[in-house]
Amino acid sequence: MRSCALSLLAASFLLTSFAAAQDVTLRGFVTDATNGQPLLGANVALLQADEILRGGVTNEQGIFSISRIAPGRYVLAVSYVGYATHRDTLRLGRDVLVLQVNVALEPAAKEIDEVVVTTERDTGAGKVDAGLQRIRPKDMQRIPTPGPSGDLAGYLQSLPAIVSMGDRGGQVFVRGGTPSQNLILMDGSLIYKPFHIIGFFSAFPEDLVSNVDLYAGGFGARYSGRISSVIDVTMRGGNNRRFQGSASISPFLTGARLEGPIKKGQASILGSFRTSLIEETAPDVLGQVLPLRFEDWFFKIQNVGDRSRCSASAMYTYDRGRIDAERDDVFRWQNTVLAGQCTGFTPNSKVYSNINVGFTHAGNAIGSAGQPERSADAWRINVDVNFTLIDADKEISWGAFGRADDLTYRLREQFHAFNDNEDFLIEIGGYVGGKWKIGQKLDLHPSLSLTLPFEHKLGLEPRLRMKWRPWGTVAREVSAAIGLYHQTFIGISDERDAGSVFTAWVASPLEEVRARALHMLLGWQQRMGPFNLVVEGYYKRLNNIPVPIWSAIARFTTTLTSANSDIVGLDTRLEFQRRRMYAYLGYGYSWIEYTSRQDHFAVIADDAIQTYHPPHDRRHQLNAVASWTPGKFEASVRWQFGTGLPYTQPLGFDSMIDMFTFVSGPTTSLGQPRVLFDKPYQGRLPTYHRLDLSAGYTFDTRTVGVTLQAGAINLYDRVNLFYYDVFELRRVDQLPITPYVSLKVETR
Amino acid sequence: MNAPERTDIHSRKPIWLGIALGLALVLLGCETTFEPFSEGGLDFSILGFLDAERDTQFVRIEPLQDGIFLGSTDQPFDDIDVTLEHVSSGHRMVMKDSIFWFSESAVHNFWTPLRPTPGETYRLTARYQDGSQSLVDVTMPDSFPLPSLINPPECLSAGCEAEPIEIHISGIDNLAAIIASYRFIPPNDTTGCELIRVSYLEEAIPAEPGYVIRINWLRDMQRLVLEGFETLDVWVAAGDPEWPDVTALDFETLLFPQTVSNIDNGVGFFGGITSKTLHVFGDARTCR
Repeated sequence: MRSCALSLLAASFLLTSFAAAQDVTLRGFVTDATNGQPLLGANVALLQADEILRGGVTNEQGIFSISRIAPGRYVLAVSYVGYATHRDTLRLGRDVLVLQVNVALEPAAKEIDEVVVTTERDTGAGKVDAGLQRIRPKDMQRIPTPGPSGDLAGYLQSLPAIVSMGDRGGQVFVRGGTPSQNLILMDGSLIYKPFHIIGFFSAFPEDLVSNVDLYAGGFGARYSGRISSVIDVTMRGGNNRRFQGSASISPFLTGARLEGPIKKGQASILGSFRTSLIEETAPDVLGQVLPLRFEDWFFKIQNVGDRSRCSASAMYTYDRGRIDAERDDVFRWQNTVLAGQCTGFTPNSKVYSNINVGFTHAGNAIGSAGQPERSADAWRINVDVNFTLIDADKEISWGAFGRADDLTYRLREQFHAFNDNEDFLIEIGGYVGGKWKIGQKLDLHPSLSLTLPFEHKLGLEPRLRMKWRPWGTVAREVSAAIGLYHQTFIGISDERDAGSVFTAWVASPLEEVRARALHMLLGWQQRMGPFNLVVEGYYKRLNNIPVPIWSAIARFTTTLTSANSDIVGLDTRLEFQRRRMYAYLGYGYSWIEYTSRQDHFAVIADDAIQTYHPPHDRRHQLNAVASWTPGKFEASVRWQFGTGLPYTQPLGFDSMIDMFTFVSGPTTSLGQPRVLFDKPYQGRLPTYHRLDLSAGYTFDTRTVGVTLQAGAINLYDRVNLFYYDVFELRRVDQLPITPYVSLKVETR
Repeated sequence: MNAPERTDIHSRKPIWLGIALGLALVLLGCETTFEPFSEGGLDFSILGFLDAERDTQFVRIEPLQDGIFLGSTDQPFDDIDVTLEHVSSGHRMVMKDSIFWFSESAVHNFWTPLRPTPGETYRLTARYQDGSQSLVDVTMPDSFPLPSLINPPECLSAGCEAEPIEIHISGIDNLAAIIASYRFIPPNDTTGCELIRVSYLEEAIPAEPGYVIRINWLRDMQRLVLEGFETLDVWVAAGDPEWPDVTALDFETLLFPQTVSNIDNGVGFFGGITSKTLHVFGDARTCR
């Protein structure tokens, strides 16, 4: 493995040297002049005699790079919607190989439609490239949320690809994968359970997020270690020009944010704190007890240099509560993430590099505070380095990573022996990939990931992403992806119990064979004036997924067995956007089937191999979102509909007397109480639908802006079943109509 | 003349639209009924057996879907009739409900005085007053000869001959149980003997004309960390023709309702046994 690392390093130097020998390269950062934040998706164009010669778009770090420019005189034009276009005349001489130009764009007093380079729209629900959707804060803002601002959790639930079990629990299933199969990154470092116990909220509120890359499948080799999806969240840094702050309150939560320069124009700090209030307000607002609490803290220090951008982020989240208010089970989980990140240009080359160093801890438990019945912890330290060489229409990226994980769990079930375990894992690996533009019609993104967890075999994971524009225009585009994936450790949760969100993380529990997956995606995008249409089909095959064996006794400490999962789905979206009107209609079809061999199945169903649809198999899902933002007023509405989730129907209850060994009989023993279940997951819960509405107005003064928002969740008070407690013969419903008013005060 | 009518229609439209929208919202919000149970048509859980050696027969009967686990009703059922019928004679006995408490859980064991006749068939029926019912027929196994003791032990304590005690069983088609019942005096206890039962069903070796078992009392003594046994009786039971062979099943598998069930419109098992007790060593009457 050491030789692999050395080869990678040698390749880095070789490519760097190779890059240095080419024509002039123009590169730099594009930022917002008012706060120093990078602008993702800004158009950068090089003009000569008012004709566009070359162009590019900034990435999530605000970086652009245009290479192979012949010496001469050019006009650099940088534009971004809502900002005044920046123009600068450049004289590129033969003595300059790399010219760095950093551009700070000033907001335009009036929105300017000037777009220099025709590029693809890269965000919004109507733009999906082979499973990749870019999410911006303004996208989150469009979803009615019972808080002062939008949230990633609420937004994700409005997408056809994503299923949540209910409005509590923080469980997110992406295109058939389970929560522990999602790779969620905060500033490049792993976070395990960022979704709060109240389903509308996560650790990623709209006003802290810069950008989210959501890969519902088919992700490239830069990401490894998970087999279903990637949610890569880049948090924004603080304002490095002036101090700003905000405070907000709603029946659900309250919070405050403060940010400002440490060194003006260069270094900044941002701090945020939020805590829920719903536990206190629910009896008055909802007329019911809702014993749920969460809080999150976030700090980020960022330094912006001419050639680099470095940051240190810290996040802490805490969730606690009873998913079912009438049950004694108290769930708790917390995340701690420390993430260091540096992105910068290598001097005199076309390469830019990125390094991430992270520390992550996640813990979760169920039971009383002092003596939890079950608890599990996961610790991680990770380092990864990434290099990207941009050369004309080609881009080559490569990198390496190392991570150490410590996973522990303690399961103490009544009437069962203590069950403790600890795994320590070290995994190293690397990747290489490229982006090739072949003419105007074809983009190819092949990549290869190499992972080597100690005590496991080497994993080679080839992947390919591509885009094809048959007519040479981005208005009509085919995208596709295929790839192999491995996951070394996985979260085990009791999928039989929708009311349980406890997860124990374990290293490949099934004979040390890693879970693996194959993804295949094929999509079509069509732009029609203000409309965007996306249709994407996908297939995922997940192998060696650990699932609890089927048992008539409800308990967590059960034997695990292996299942394979076949997932077929269709993700269809129609988006409309014109001026201040936005509307979106999404339909998701999903078919998930697990195949598992269990000896018990031979007894209860005549065949040891059985197929069943797991509890997150929501077959049909429909989402409709509309928002209207005329000036300082904004209104948004969302309706969502989902067909019922599978559950296992009970036949009834009794007690099983062990009379066959004559240890006991009807008169001498109670026997083993049991639930008599029918075959697994043969029943379906009722359909689910809900209408949410919000409207708000911002009062602006010279120094502060006051946003008053009012709305309601579940406007027509639909009684939606969350899950049915078969042990108590009792339905647990989702939230009833929930009116709210929120207030946010923000300094200007 | 038409103009005022048009105005009238226009003025009403928002009202009707509002009413329709409001009605739609109310309808959308209606609670949906949800039936959690499988439509399996199963009425009762029945567990127990008829014992030809006993004068009173007990069977546990619980309605399947009337409550949560057990103990939901600690009163006798007034809407359930349980009968035991001797099929060939048509003689029908009504079984009486009795509540047995185990810790805080109440269960319903129905009973009737009866000594079943080997070879005869009995029909147990549990019926709701609305006519739905679960039933099962049990044919009692034939009686069989007392098992033969091949090598009677002289004593069952440390220093005695350690050979297993061999017993030959014949005349049984379906072996239901072999229980070795040991009585012993607990260390530092003068209150009397204690009884412990060890199943030997899994160790029965088929051998014409029946089975051979070897009671490994020394192994049992060592497992129980005892110094010796005062008495040993071996109880052998023959099961009815449907009595299941559970030796290959673990308890977890046994818990599935589909694993062992012979009840029509219900779950559980109701069987019949005849049995013999072989006194191997000591006199149980002297060690109580």
